[in-house]
Amino acid sequence: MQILIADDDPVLRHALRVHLERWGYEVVESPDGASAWHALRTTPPPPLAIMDWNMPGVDGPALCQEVRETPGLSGMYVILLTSNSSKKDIITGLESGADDYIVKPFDWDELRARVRIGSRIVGLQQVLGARVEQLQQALSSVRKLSGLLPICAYCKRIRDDQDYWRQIEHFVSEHSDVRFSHGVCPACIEDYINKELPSARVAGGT
Amino acid sequence: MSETRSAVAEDIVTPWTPERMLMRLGGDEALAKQLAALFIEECPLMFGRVRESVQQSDADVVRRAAHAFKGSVANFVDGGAAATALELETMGRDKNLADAPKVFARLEREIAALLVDLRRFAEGA
Repeated sequence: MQILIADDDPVLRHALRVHLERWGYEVVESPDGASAWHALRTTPPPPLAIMDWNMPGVDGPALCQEVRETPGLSGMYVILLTSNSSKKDIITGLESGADDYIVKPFDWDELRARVRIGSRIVGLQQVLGARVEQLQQALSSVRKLSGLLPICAYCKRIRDDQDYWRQIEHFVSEHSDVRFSHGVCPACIEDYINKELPSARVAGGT
Repeated sequence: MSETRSAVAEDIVTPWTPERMLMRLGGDEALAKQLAALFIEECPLMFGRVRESVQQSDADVVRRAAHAFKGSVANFVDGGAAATALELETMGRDKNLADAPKVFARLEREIAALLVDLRRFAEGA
């Protein structure tokens, strides 16, 4: 999984890169808000970002807001990593759209655990997204077959929207993916075929 | 900033110790040395921004430059130069720079002392 690090401190960026790569992540670095925004607009964008609050150009909370308002980025998991530690800052940061908030100086094991939570949520979202797409595809392949159908009480034909009486199997086939294989049930063999067979033989001369 | 502790800041005791830094990095000495070398390389630029902001006496510029510098220093020390940079940042936030030159001078001595320690560590002495 790719992670964007946006921080203007080159020392911390290097430390983050080394640790994240050790933990199995691929890292993209940005030293300021503008280049971070550029990195986020790549295709596909990194699904997880660790952002500083104070950066030249666009700051962390402003970036978070942009992420949440941008189609295609709104599912990104964002961790704000900042020395701004007041309750007001934390609330502002989370309300800007950050998923998590870590105060510097931080413990590396804690960061690892929080990044792992983020990557798990990203993974779940990706699975969920794929499932929704599958369901949408399935739904689009199922044609509409619901509502009140006028059906003949005797021959069981169905009246369609154009006022034609259609055989039930034709109607159902046109409104769903159902296909029919024709056969004769035992009751109909008794009621129709066995009764009609003698006269058919006579007519056929057998 | 001078190369030797005795020349510039004999009265300064930095709170930085290699043991503490190594503990924070899980004992990774190679990474600790990389970070120290990186800070030594980047420090003149970042510290220069703080110096310029104090000289300009622009409170908002002081706040931003001191905040950025504090963040980088805090990779090595919690108090000392990091605390002094925070003082400058607070002065900028409060728009009261009356004591900023004095605090900056203290920060300069603390950074000089920290750099001496970090150089010694990064070079493996």
